[in-house]
Amino acid sequence: MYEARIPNPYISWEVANNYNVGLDGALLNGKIYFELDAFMNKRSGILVRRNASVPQTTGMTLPAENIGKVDNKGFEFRIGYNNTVGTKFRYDVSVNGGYSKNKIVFWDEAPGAPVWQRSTGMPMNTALYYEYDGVFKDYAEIDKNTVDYSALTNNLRPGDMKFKDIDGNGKINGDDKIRYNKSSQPTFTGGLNVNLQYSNFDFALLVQGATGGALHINTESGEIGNFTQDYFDHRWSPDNPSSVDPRVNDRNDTYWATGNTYWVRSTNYVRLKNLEIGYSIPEFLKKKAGITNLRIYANCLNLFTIDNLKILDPESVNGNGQYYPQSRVLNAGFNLTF
Amino acid sequence: MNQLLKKIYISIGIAGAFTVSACNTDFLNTKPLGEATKDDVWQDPALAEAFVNEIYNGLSSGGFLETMLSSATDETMFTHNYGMKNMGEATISPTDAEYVNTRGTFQWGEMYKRIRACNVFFQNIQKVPFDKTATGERLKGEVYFLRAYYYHQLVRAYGGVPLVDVVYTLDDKDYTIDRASFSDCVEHIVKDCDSAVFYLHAKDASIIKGRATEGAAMALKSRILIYAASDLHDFPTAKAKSTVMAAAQKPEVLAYTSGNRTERWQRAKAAAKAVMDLGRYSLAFPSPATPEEASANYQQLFLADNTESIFSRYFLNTKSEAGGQIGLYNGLNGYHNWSGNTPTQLLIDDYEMSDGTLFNWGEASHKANPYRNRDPRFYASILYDGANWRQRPTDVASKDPANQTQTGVYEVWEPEQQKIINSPGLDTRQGPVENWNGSFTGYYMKKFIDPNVDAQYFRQEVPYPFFRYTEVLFNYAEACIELGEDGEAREYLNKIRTRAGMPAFTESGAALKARFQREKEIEMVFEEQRFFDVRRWMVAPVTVGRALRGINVVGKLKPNVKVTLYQRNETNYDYTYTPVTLVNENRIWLDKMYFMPLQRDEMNRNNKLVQNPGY
Repeated sequence: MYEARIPNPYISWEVANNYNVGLDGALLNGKIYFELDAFMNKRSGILVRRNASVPQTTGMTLPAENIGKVDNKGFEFRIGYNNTVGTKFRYDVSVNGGYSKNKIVFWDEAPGAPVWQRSTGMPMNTALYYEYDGVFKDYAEIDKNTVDYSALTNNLRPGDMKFKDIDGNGKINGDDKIRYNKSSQPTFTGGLNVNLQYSNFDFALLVQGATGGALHINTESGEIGNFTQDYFDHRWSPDNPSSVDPRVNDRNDTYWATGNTYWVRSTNYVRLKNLEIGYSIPEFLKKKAGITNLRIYANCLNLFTIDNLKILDPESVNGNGQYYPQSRVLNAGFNLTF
Repeated sequence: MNQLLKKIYISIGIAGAFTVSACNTDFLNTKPLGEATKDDVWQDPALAEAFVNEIYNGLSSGGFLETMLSSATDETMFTHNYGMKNMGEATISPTDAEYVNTRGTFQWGEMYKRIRACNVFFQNIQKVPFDKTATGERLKGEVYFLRAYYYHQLVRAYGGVPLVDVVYTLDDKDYTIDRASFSDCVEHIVKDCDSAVFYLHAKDASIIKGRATEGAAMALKSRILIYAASDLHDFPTAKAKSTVMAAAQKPEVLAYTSGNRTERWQRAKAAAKAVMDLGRYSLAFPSPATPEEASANYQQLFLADNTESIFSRYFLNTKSEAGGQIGLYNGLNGYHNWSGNTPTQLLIDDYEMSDGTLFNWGEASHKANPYRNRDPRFYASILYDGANWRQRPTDVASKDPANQTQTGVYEVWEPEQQKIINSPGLDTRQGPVENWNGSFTGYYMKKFIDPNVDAQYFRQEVPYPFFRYTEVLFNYAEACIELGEDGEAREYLNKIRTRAGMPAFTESGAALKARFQREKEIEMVFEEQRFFDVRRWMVAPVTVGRALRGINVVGKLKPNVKVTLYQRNETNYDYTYTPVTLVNENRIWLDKMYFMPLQRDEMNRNNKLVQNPGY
């Protein structure tokens, strides 16, 4: 039996004001079609616990209170063009996209937290990271270093990371962490659709992409799990003294193995999600064979991806690599209808 | 918009009320089945008692957590880091102290949550209609003890802390509060102990195992007073011994800045004597006939309750709790256990020879056989290369039919290749079984681990002793030494020595003090004593500040011997033992480590807090 929470008699609804402007239409006899939509959501009274500002010495298990305010703005669109050329060639090409970005207007903050760590003004679900600033290449560089790392390690070694001294006090500690302005959620996602038909041939293509997201990578590499190829290839070593990439470490046994911007990688990508080519046999053959339809096709899922992440799937929201990867699938087959 | 929503809400409410009014409206006033209201709790003796039961949860599993406090000292090393390395390397800071804030037994937030619960209890207990007033009195005594215990956990980790005796509400405008002086904190704890004794006096018979007793409160008082009298908490002494301490912003928060030390020692002595005079506790197994018996007794002392148990945390193997898994956390990787907290060579070297002389690597006979003729407690506390242990798990049994700890590298004859090869032991980081877990030091914990439990699959029921009578005797002896009463100190220390099968002390003065300190290290190893003792004695720089050490054991086949399956055997093998410095935890001592850092987040919430020196 314990105090599950301090009662909050003032608890109420969260309030959302939604504004939408939309425009749907078609031009040139429907050859050009489009959907445009812009939105703004202003939410207030979001239920938040004041854990950041109420000292733990109160011993209180805080209830949710209607204090949070978040704005969310964005737009969505789809524009396409379809046409028939002659009697045999038909095509339909369209692009679509959605952009959405939220901003915290009010949140519970620790009164003493440095400005660069506050969540107000930032998107939701962002994290604090040290800002990566290269790697100590050798002992000569460590000897030259004047920044105090004693809050992180008492034994700097070549291949250890450098962090930026954000508050400029000559000392790297938790006050030098910055609130990163990206979360694992992309701000823009979009796609390109192409459908072509020429005589009995058909062709479809779907390209998908996203921008504005970032992922913090933290694989359990070391004595218990393997390293990524990327880490292995670029690692600092006595033979390859890098100024950019760190030495190998065992899981989280170094101060830089997690929680800094070196590990935060952009998840921007463009991916050929689907590609399909088909051929349906002509009418006269169908009749001859006594069937309703026969279509032969080949398709491919996830044929290629262009991204900077390389290490993990840019569509993953999990930075430890422990997920079932998307596979590239090649199919060939036929549909037969009697 | 708000107005509109309110109207909608009200109208739905009215519509709802009308719809159901024809039937039965009672169900609108149901109480949640999983929760009780505050008013109900304080009108029902059983619920009030349940509220007190929960306050005990602040005790967690006592010292039986996966990361043990001993690994922040020279007793053990924690194999898997988990923020423990920062303790040994003195790199904890107000923004990064994982062990202090989330893994240890003195977490700030947890302690204050329970202190609040104690205050809520005192605010409401008068309302509860107990059938027998005795129950209410007993609960009061327990809660006084618990509040004292939680404050003592905070004070010995952080120094003086805010003394909160109000029950805050959501409407309070100001939650900031100053740290109280060290002296005020000690008095607060002592007062709560005295109140606990008042309410729990002579009630032992009616108190269920595991609940606070009069003896527990008196032992706690003895402990806080011996801490209070120590060097670290006498500011003139601390200042002279440490420049970091001398620079403390508010010394009175950490130590006495005035007053008479002799009086403090006398008060500590009296508090210990009061427990001894209860006549309720005594040293278990006081007079063994042989060293072997002393060793067996000592092992048994930490497997079940006995005459010296004052206050313990109990575990059931049917209940999943950290405390039942000490065997799994710390056992040998060659038994599919996790090898977490492993004894260091520094600890091993502190075990005396059985004749009471010091172990010395410079002595050829010691180096040749470091595990021979040691203090009988060594054999009950430590698993070393060649030490017998329980039956190996079935999948490993064929590799070690002798069931011996294997932390070395041994030569064996490989019949297929027709040559001698090196075979790493089963309990090493090169061995064939889960070697990523293996001990870095070459030793494993034995004390507190039930040899009859297969820890891979089952939990043990060994209690964790928060307070045992031996500690009270140590407190008494320590105060006596400081007061120059060496004869009295020796009398009680020698009871502990005799029980251990070790020769009596004959020293006096500084020599006796040094022996007392080592004796407490050995006798109370893994019991959350040393972390605080080395600090308050201010010997941390030369004890826990030492470089971490482990052992390399090599077994070489004697000429013309062919062994295909290794087993310890001095006829077949020549063994060499080489102590090594372990570099993967670069231990040092910095004086900031005398006190744990206050979290920066908490300081941001409460601008009255003053940080501890050195952070």
